[in-house]
Amino acid sequence: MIYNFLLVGIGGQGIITLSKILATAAMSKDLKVIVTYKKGLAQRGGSVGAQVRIGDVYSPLVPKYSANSLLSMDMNETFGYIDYINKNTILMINTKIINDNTFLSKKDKVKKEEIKQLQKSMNDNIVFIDTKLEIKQKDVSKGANIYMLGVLFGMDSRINSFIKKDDIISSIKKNLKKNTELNIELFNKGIQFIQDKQVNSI
Amino acid sequence: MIKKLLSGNEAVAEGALESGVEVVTGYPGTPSSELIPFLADIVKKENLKVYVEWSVNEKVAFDIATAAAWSGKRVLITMKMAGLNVASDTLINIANKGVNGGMVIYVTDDPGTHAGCTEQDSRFYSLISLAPILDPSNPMDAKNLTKIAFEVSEKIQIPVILRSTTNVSHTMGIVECDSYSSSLNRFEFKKDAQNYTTVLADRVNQRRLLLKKHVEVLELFNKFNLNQLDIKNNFGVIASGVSWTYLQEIINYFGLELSTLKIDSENPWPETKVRKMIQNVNKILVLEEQEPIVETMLKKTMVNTKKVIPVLGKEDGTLSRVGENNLENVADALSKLINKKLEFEEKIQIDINKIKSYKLERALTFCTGCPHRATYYIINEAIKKLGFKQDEIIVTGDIGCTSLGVYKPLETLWTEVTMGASIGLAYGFKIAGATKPVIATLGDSTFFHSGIPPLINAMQYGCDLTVIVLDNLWTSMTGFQPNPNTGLNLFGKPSNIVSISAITKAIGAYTITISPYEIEKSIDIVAKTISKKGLKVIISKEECVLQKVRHGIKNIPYYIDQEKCIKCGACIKNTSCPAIINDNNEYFIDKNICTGCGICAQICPVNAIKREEK
Repeated sequence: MIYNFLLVGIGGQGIITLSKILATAAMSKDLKVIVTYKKGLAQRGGSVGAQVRIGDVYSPLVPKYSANSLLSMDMNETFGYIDYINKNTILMINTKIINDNTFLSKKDKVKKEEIKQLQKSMNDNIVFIDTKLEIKQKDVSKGANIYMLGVLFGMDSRINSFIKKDDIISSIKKNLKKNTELNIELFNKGIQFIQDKQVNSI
Repeated sequence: MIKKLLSGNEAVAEGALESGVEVVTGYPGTPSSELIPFLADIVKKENLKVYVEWSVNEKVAFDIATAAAWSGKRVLITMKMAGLNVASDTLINIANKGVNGGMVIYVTDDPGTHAGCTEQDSRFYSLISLAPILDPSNPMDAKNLTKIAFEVSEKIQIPVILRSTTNVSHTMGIVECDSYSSSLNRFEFKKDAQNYTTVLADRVNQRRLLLKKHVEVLELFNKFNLNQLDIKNNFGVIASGVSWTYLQEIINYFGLELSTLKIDSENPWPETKVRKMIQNVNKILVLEEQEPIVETMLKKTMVNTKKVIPVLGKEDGTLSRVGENNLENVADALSKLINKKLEFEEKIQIDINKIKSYKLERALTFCTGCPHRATYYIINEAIKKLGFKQDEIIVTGDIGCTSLGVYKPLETLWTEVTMGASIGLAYGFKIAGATKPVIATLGDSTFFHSGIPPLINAMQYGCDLTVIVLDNLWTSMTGFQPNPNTGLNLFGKPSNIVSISAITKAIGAYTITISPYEIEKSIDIVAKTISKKGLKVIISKEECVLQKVRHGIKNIPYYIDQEKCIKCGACIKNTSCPAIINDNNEYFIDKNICTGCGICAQICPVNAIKREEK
């Protein structure tokens, strides 16, 4: 078994935390895990990418067109990883865009439509989530990453075959010492989101 | 035995502690920087008797560790590839003189230059110094090879280079860890000028001895079962470093049968195993990153064995001498070897390049509230104030966060090469004929590392030069390491402060300090200082804002008074501060990220930017 997670976003959106939660959960099941981060000049607010590989893996890098899921906290960052998806990849995109004044060109705002074109070739495995909209009632600026992880877990039943919900919850407890209960609640809400929307999970 | 999820850098730290390392020195540099803080944390938590420091530069780190190794201690020195260039003088000498306690030099290369460095294959330092080299492929391997490096170094009395690359150093994998060694070596340094001085030493004999040691190192490497050979069929693959993991992934994924040789050490070269491989296969593919070192050695061995067979590698263009390997180019190379197409997944039926082009690139800029943004703005304005255009005044830059002054919108810097080069270059432009003012800029850590000798040089020969030290008290870009200016050691305990202004004054340079957040006043001082004759140093002093925020010092944020704002955009155009948002020509400040530096408020032509009420 091999499962390749790609986690992408902007510095400060909790990509590294997510990678640690997944890695810790996999380790608790005695699974082999390799995590690699996208390299670049240290810059706050710059793009961040993590590759979390679980199972019979040796290489730190995910092969092209071989991501099982792509969790993107920032729509714009998604485009950079498009050569990792295949027709069975689950694509999970946060539509909230931050820091847009650091874009070099402002000609076009990033549009959902451009990614929606993909939908057909991807068996409709795309979920758009506005985390700002979905979790605003809690006024949580952070925690959107955990919410998204919940959505992914709810959407992709393949994950459930090697890591159970409780494994992720205990991993959240191990990795997030602050606001632990709130984050678990957000994880559960993410799972709920998929059930409510009645998106076809696979 | 406990399983831990560790990066390659962290695994080397674990291996060193399990080996009973007693002295650890280094200078930060991507991708090596995480080793020392990780190790220091363990030392603190476990109360281990290990001396750890961030040294002023790599050569100093090497010299300190040398004395400890000569005194019988086990030592580890860490640096990035560029750092080994700085320390190479000591390395080559110590390889000849030998060590008593085990000495491991951890150096990290960056194929593909993700960290913004020039590509360099540090394995050549093993060939030039004759210090043996070990080349790990993943974090578990890195820990094992660290332990072997210490054993071999101490037994054969030779320094050992442990060379990693970005995809090993920054990859996290499961590492089986043992307990830390508590058996420490006794301090013992006997006077022996015949060995420890170069003038008295029998230098020719030292060289002979060094070559003899190589034979013994190779015997030990074989005992440790390094350079594993596995003959299965006529297709041979020799792989080193992270490329070995790509090979393993592909073999497992596609269920391939291949004869393989894992190169753990390029020097000493496992000649016997390579010969055995040549004798048993008809074709060999070499997988290594950067320069074709393994490939060249293989071809030499082939000539020795008088059996020359086809070699796929970098010289025939199967793989590139530039950039890093990955699963795709390794799979393509293997396809060529076995004449069978290897593809992981089917391409999705979309125009990949078109969709990739949708991505809007983000500009590299200083962090919100960074004092360097203010300093470069001040330099640009001072140049204008003196009646020059920005393109008329040469401003040299240096390594670290300060190098971001090359990007839009400030674009102050003309050059950025190596540590401390800003001052030497600026002086060089003057003597080469630059008649207008020349300005050198560098950070505080860079100043201590390599900025002082060129300043002395400029003083000795006399020249009109302005040097601006952007002093933010920390070595920030590599992760906020303390430096001689910080007043803390890496455990957060107070240390002596070495004053930059005391040094520059002692050299004889006119020295003045500015506060970069006081824009107008500083522009005035900088302009006046540039106009002065002679060697001048301006210290632009303000603590790194990210560190200030960490210490709980956060100024009150600013906001834009919408009634006063004339929507000219001067605030964004001049600063590209990430806290300022232009939403359809309405300007806002994100008060959650604004650090209250006040640069924009001073730039705004209509005073529309104000401090929030408390």
